[in-house]
Amino acid sequence: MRYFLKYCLSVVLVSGFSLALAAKPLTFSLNKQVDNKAVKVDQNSWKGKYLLIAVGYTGCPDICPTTLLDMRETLAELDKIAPKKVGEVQPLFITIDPESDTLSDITRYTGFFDPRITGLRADDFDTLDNVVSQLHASYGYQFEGKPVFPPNLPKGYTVMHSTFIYLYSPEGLLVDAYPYNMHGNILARRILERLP
Amino acid sequence: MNYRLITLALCFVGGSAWAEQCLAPKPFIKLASEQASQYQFDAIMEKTTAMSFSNSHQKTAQEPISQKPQTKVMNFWATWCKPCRAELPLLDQLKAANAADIYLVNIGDSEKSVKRLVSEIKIDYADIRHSKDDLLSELSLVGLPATFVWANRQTVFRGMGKLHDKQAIKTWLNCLEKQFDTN
Repeated sequence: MRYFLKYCLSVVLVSGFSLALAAKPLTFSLNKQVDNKAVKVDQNSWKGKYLLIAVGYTGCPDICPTTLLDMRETLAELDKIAPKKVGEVQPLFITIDPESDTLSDITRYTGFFDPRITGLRADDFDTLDNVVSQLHASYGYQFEGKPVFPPNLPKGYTVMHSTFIYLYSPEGLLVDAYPYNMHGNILARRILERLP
Repeated sequence: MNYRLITLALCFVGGSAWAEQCLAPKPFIKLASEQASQYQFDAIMEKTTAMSFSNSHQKTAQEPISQKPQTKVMNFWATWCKPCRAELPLLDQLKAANAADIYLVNIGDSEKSVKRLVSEIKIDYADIRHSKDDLLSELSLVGLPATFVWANRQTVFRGMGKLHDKQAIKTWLNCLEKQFDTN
């Protein structure tokens, strides 16, 4: 139920991002993979950089969203039109299916797109919920048409999640949010408008 | 008696007409003519490039035919997309059976990773092509896999998501091909 409520809440919040601009700075503690080992990262791990954040998962069963393709295209476009600024943006992809996605899975998955995109995984659902709620994103699981909740997820559950891409300032404040399928060339220009 | 004969005749004619419609299996939907006009096979092909493979690839179809099928299928896929990887063998088998002229267009992966995957899952028959990421936005595709079928220049079907039922798709493609023959 809490995931459903969170989803409803996110719909309201997404329609009024101006409210979110007044939110507290983003904080998180997640894992990334370095040399096959889990390394803790937080909001200060990329000092001075804008964080471009999306949530998702690697195991799309029937059709895969193209969020990370948009991120890859965005980076390629920034390489082309603003090569001196591209390094100011750190793309992050957080799995909202840590039950199925290992850190190795999410790292390999983001690597398919661009090595600059860092895959992140939470240690537990409380940690994940914490960051997801700060982003005003949402996620949930279903099985046979009914919502199911961790930690008792049945085999064959399906995953749902919101699909915005968020831009956070180096101070951890939400700067902008971009809808799904905006496409990299537009996204790159929208991001550049936000960079100093 | 006459009524029975007429009813039987109507059932026969109706059944034939129904069969001739070549009902599209999931996940395919027929595009409205305005939308279909945006998806011209030749124009999309021009935005893709052929990939060359070693001699283990590009076998000829198993079933001898008098001519190349006229029904065209174009599937868009990527190495990171699990359902894409799962359905590639199905499309290759359809090509092997000469059900249609089939093109598998990879979106944005490196040549090396495409070749590795093709070798791993043994794609032997279908033509593999490559395109840049932005082809997806040009085609207004919001996810992968995506498959287009051209039954003729005006009739285009689009299927978003994984293809499951090989036999149903094969039957449908055969039906479309017969309609091509009669057009």
